[in-house]
This record gives sequence, C-alpha cells and structure tokens, in this order.
Amino acid sequence: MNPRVRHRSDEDGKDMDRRVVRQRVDEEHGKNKVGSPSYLLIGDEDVAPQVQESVDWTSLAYDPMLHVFTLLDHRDRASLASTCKAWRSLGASPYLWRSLDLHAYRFDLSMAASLANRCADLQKVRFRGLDSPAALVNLRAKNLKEISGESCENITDATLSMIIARTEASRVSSLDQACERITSEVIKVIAICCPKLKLRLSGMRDRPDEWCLFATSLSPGRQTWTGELQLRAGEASNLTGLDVSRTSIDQRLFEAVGVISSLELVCAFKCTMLEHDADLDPDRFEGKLMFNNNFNRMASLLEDTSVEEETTRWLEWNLSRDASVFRRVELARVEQFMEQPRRKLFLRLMQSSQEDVQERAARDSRLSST
Amino acid sequence: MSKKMIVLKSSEGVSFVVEEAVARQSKIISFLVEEFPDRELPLTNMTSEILRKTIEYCKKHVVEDDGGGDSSSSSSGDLKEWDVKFVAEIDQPRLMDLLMAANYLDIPSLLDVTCQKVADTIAACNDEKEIRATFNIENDFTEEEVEAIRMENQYPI
Repeated sequence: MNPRVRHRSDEDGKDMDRRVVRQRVDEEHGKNKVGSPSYLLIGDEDVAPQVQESVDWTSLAYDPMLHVFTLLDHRDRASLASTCKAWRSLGASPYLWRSLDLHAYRFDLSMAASLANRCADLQKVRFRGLDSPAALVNLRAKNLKEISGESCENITDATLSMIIARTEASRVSSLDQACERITSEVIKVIAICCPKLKLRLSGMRDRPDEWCLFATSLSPGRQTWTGELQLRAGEASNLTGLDVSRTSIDQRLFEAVGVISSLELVCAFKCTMLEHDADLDPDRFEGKLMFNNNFNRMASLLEDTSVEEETTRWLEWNLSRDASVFRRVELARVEQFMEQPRRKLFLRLMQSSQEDVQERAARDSRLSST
Repeated sequence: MSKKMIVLKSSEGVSFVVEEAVARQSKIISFLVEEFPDRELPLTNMTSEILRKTIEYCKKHVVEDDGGGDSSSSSSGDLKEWDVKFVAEIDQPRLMDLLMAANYLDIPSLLDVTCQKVADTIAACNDEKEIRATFNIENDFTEEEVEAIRMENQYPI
C-alpha cells in the first residue's frame, strides 16, 4: 500500500521532535502551495536524504482518488484531470459523469463527440436547444434516465422518435418551450411503445391552422400527452396534466377535457374563450385540480391538497411561462402581475433552485426585449 | 470490567496496545480480530508514525459504550472541529500515508476527512500547473494530448 519504503530507526514517539526541512526543490514548490502547511518531513534525519521525499500522489489507489474527484466542482475536476495521464483517465471515469448540464453551451455534434467517451453511465442530461438530434444520440449515453431540454423549437416528430428510440432506458423526458412541430400522432405512438416513460412537453401546437393547443403532459405513473384529435376521441387514457393556457380552447372542448378520467391537473390561464364563461366552475372538475386566473383559489387549493413534488414543478413551469408571456404582452402592467395572491402562489411552489430562477428570468428579459 | 486490548504492530515492528473498541473502527481490524482473536496484528505497510496518527484518530472517534465515560464523550460539533485541526496539522506526504492507511484499514470517516483535505488543497490551486507543483506531479502529456484535454474540459459535469 505504501509506495515509499521508509527505513526508520527512530523509536516510536520520538520522531515528532525530529522535523527536518525538506530539500530545496520542495521548498520552491511550497511557494505555490495555498492553504496548507509548508513542506516538512517528519522522519529520521539520517534517512531523510535517502528517502527523496516526494511522495508519488499518482500512486494513490483508484478509489480514494475517485472520492477526491467527487469532492471537487467541475472546474477543479477539469484542472485535476489536466495534470497527468493517470488522473486524466481517472477524471474520465463514467462514475463521475452521471449528470451533465449543457444548458450554457451550444449542444452540437462536436461537443457530443468530445463528451461521448465519458457518458457510458450518464443518467441525466440537461440542455438548451438542440442543434441536431444526432448530438443527443452521439453522446452514446445508453443509460440515460432523464432528458431535459429547453428551447427545442426545431424538434420534429422524426427527431423526437429518434431520441426516444435511442435512449431506451429513459424514464423522464422534458422538452420545454418548443415542440411546435411535434404532432399528437407521434406522442400517441410513443405512449403505446414506451409505457414507462414520463413525457413532459410544452409549447405543442396541434393543427395550428384551426386552433392551437398548448399542452403539457405529466404523469406520475404512466405517460402520455394527447392532442385535440385524441381529446375528441376520448382516448387520452394516460394523460395526467394538461395546460391549455393562452389557447383559443372553447367551452365545448373544455368539457371534453373534463371527462378524461386520468387527468389530475388542468391549467387554463388566459383563455379568452373561457374567461366570461359562468360555467367554468372549478368544482365541475371533480377529482381534478384546475388552475385558472383565480389565483386566490389556486393558492388555497394548494394549501388544502398534498401535491407531489413533480406536480409542483410542472405547475411552476406553467406559471413562469405564463409570467413571461404576460410580460411580453402587457409590459405596462408588469407590477400588477405579481399581485398578492400570485406572489403567494409562487412562493408556495418555489421548487426551482435559485440558479434556475435567475436563468429563467434572464431568458425572459431577453425575449421581452426582442 | 477490564476492556479487551489488542496489539497492532507497525512496519518497524513497534507494538501498539489499543482498546478493541478503538481498533474496531477499522473494518479490516474488526474482521481480523474475529478471525484471529488474541493475536498480534502485523500492519506491515504502515509506519509507526502513521499507525499512531490513525490510532489517535480512532481514539477520538470511538463510540461511547454504556460504561465508558472517558475522553470520547465529544459532541459532534466538537468532533468536527477536532477533525479539522487534526488534518490541518498534517503535512502533505504524511497526509497521503494517512489517507492510504484509512483506505487500507477501511475507516470511512478518516478517509473522508483526509480526502476532503486533499480536495481542499486542490481547490485552492488556480490551475493544473499549480496542482502539479503542489503535489509534485510530472506533466507526462504529449502536445496532442494537451490539445485534446483542452477540448475535453470545456464542458461541466
């Protein structure tokens, strides 16, 4: 276990008094050292020169060094992996690459290629925008459990099918703000093929010429989103969450939503066709949580009901989208947006990390300025 | 009731007599004590100095028995403070020995504090050059490899 062979003649207990300063070379190295005591070798004076006290840290066993890697942030990991061959290969260990956050980078093919050799065990990936669906596939992350993508405007039916097919182990996929080109047909196919997948989509637009349906799906057990076609057919057996906010959904269709038995949550903010409808009574949605512009009611609903964490996150997603749309449309009344009940609701939800919130805010302000 | 003592022998042949409860914090020693009761346990890859340090740590961290009301009765806050001081006093070559001792003897908490100290030292360095200097690491990369690493390291974990 010990790479150094030390021959010490000193008796136990005395060597504490025999500190010798290490050789000149080491003192020079010591100048660069931050936050730890100077190089002193505790040992026998007679033996010290022979020992040539440069411990070989690269000879440290694999496990403890890997443990050291896990204690570092990504910047320090990268520095450590850049020191020598031994630690470079250790730094590429799939054990250290379980989760990848690429949302600050351009996720393209060359990036995927340079990451691929480390992603064998990757469980979770987060990215913003997808240059090419091949980028995700080229990560060669066969064990991916969770995919989370934002601003995926260019994802099409074909792309989505490819992603789902190539990441078979996937359990949760969220593709946010984006899926304008995805149709309900492909979702239906995915629902049948991957019953265990939880799929969360937002910004879907089914048959945009007639009307647009923003829908988001969330299901604790089984997945599925369904578009208007399925709503009509009443086939949406697995849909658990639906966001129809800011769409032209009308009373007739809304009633169709109401009869979907698997549905637990409906968000309907800013639906112009429903706003003056006296029939839009949340109590009609028995057994479902319904959220509309009545934020007071929402806040009290959440207080009375135990809501799963995943559900809360989904709600927060929808609300923040609502907020950004509101800001773009009615900039003059921004301060009104955060009126008391709404603020209360946000605080109640607040599942996002501070980082995420700041990130979202920055993105929204970019959007509103364009 | 006298406490059961066991004898650990360092690479230099120095014997250390330790309470069994103290030594049993090492999973390896725990196992050896059961397999070979009443025998001296030779730890040929551990110097007296490191073995003494390790024992010092284990004594501090021994879980207090019903009867034993000695120095081990520290609160977790004090203990943490003690740990910090304990590793702060250790210079780098001995830190590596102690880390390896913790790994070999399988003492998870000692492994944690020593690894943390290594990690802190690394985190205090500005770049890989500084890490190399601090830990006396030889740069064994070719120029092509340096370029490849630069590419590799631009993405976060």
